Amino acid sequence: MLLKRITLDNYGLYNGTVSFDLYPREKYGKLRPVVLFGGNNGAGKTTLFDAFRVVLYGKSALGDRVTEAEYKSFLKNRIHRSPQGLLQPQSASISLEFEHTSLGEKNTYIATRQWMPGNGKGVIERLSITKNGTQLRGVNPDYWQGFVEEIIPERLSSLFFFDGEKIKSIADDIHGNAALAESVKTLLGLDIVERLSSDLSIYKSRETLKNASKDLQQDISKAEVKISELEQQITITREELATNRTEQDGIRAEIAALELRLKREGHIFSQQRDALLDEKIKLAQQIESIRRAVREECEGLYPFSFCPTITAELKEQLVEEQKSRKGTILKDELVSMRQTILDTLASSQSELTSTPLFESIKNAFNNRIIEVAPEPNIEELFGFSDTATSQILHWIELANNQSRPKVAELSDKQEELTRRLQRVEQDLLRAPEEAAIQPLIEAVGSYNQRLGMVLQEQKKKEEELRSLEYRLTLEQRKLKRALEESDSKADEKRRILLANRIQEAMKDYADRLTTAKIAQLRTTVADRFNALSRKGDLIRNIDIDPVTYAVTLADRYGNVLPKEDLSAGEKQMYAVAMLWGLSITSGRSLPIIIDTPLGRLDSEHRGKLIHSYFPCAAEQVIILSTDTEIDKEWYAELSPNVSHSYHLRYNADENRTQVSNEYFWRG
Amino acid sequence: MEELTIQRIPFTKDADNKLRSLKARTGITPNILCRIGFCMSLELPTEPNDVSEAEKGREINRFTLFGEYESCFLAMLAIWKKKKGSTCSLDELLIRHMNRGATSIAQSIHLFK
Repeated sequence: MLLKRITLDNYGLYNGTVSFDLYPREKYGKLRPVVLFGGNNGAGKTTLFDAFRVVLYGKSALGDRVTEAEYKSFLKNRIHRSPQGLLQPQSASISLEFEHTSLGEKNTYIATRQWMPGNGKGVIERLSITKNGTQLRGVNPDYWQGFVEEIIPERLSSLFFFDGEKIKSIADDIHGNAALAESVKTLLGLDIVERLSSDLSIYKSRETLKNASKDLQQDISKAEVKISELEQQITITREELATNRTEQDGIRAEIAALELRLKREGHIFSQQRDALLDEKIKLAQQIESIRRAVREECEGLYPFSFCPTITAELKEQLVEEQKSRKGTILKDELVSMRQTILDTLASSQSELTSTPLFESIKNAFNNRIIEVAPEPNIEELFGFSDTATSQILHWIELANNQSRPKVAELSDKQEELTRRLQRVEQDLLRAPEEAAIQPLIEAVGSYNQRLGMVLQEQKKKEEELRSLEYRLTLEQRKLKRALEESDSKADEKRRILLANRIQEAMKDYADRLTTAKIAQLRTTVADRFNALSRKGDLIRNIDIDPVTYAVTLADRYGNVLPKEDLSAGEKQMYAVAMLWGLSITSGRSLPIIIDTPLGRLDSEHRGKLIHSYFPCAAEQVIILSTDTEIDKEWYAELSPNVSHSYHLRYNADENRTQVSNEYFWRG
Repeated sequence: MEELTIQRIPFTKDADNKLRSLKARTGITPNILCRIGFCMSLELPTEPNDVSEAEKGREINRFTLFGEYESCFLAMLAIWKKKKGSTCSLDELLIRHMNRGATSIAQSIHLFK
């Protein structure tokens, strides 16, 4: 990884936008790794140093035990405040551009952390990242943290970004191995192994607790018993339903048969029976009244119509007799009238008797008398009076013209009524009395009732079946869950076993890794120390206890060299060697940023650092120094390795850092 | 004119039975049946047989038999006698026609359903 540029915007003492090119430049065919920042105390070196960590790690840059509020307050205080500016900056940001090679692909990233005061004490922080000039959208801070962790793990950053204080704390750590132990563990990633191991312990205890809380076996066998019971009940219920259906079919067949029989028995006629009976009575009455009428006719003149020939003759006879009787009377009348008239005429005017008139009167009378005289052969049979005669004639007339047609009509009517009566009587014969079919109707009724009961029973059974099936599904689900759980329990047991084995394996791994790394570290540190040490071959060997991380130094003769026997400078050299060794052992190609490193070193040690350490520590070494640390002399010594440098100067009037592209002085 | 002297007209057992059965079937009383039968018998051209030798049945009163129409019935009988030139007395003819009539009407029962 190479840092290309850091840009500060109203960050701390830096007013406005200040950008530092960090890319090591090539000069005279040689890549110069050192980028030098010069500045006296309070000029903004440490602010700059912090900026690297803040942009990369955010809150973690301040340490493990920093609260969100403290971090926010830190950020708020880092927004530049201009003493005379009317417009105070409303936000601050740090932007770091770097190059990172991953899987053979070189990418340029720009990470920008910007923040502004929010409501009250709050601060709104925003992180944005571009990759090869493209903004990565919706970057999750966690993602960024994971990404940065991969490049420079925060816990390792102290090996690469350190200051004099760090060196001093390692140097002063005479007995204790705490700092070293932490560094080594971090370096090797063993802290992760330990954390994983303890996580596994927690996991194990949780799993064990879960296992203990339930007796799954009991659940399973209970569910199985329930299921088999339910299945049995369902089978029984299904059989009952089948029986029920058979019964329904049987009853329906019975009802159908009965209804057929009812039809045959004339159930329909039976329903009409009363009407038929009424009609029969009515018809009988009508017929009876006709008969009475006929009887009346018979008692009257009707009999005479049975002898039309005789009556005709009788009628003729009677008419003749009547006529004869009338003729006789009229003849007698005329005879007596002729006598009277002729006598009268003869006696009064006798001369008239010989006149034609007299003769014609006489002839007229005589003719008329002959005319009206009845036939002489008429035999008077009965000697009926005129009244009696006309009575009989009237009877005969009535008998033929009235009575006979009337009887014929009555007879027709009677015939028709009789036919109707016959039909009704036939229907009535077919129509059984209610009593005859009552048992059948009752039987149908009772069958229908039974059918209703059976249907209700069926409904009940079906309901029951549904409920049983539902319960069965529930139990089956329960069983399935229990079985799955049981499986997973088995799994869990296996997992616990695995966890144990993993823990063992990790312990083994940690041990072996530690041993291997420490072996590497030992030689590297000894090597580096000797390269830095003024006394050359002072330390032959460094022994680091893999368990306690106690460091034992051995001199060239193999004797133990107590650490406290080293001079203060030597201790610092030892510390730098240790850091250097660790960073080499980490196997990461990362830039090194060192803040005020040379504080307490004598000139000889400084020379060692400037000659042997700074140019070789990494591909990119950023040194923040005061003018007393890297002074003119040392600057000249270092300059062949210096790519470029900056000078930070505090301007008290403007309360800001001014930057120039030169070190304190030009080399 | 020949007068009728008989007051009760005798019927043979056979005619009597027929009248009874007819009465039962038609509800018409024997005297009325006899009137019809008498008329039917008068219409036949043949002279009715003598019934005096036959087994005796009931007798019916002359007035019961003819009611108010006696004159007409007797006139018809007289016409019949004159027409046929019968030598029998009116009484005899009446008895014979009545008996034959009772039998005739039994054969024409369809008229009195």
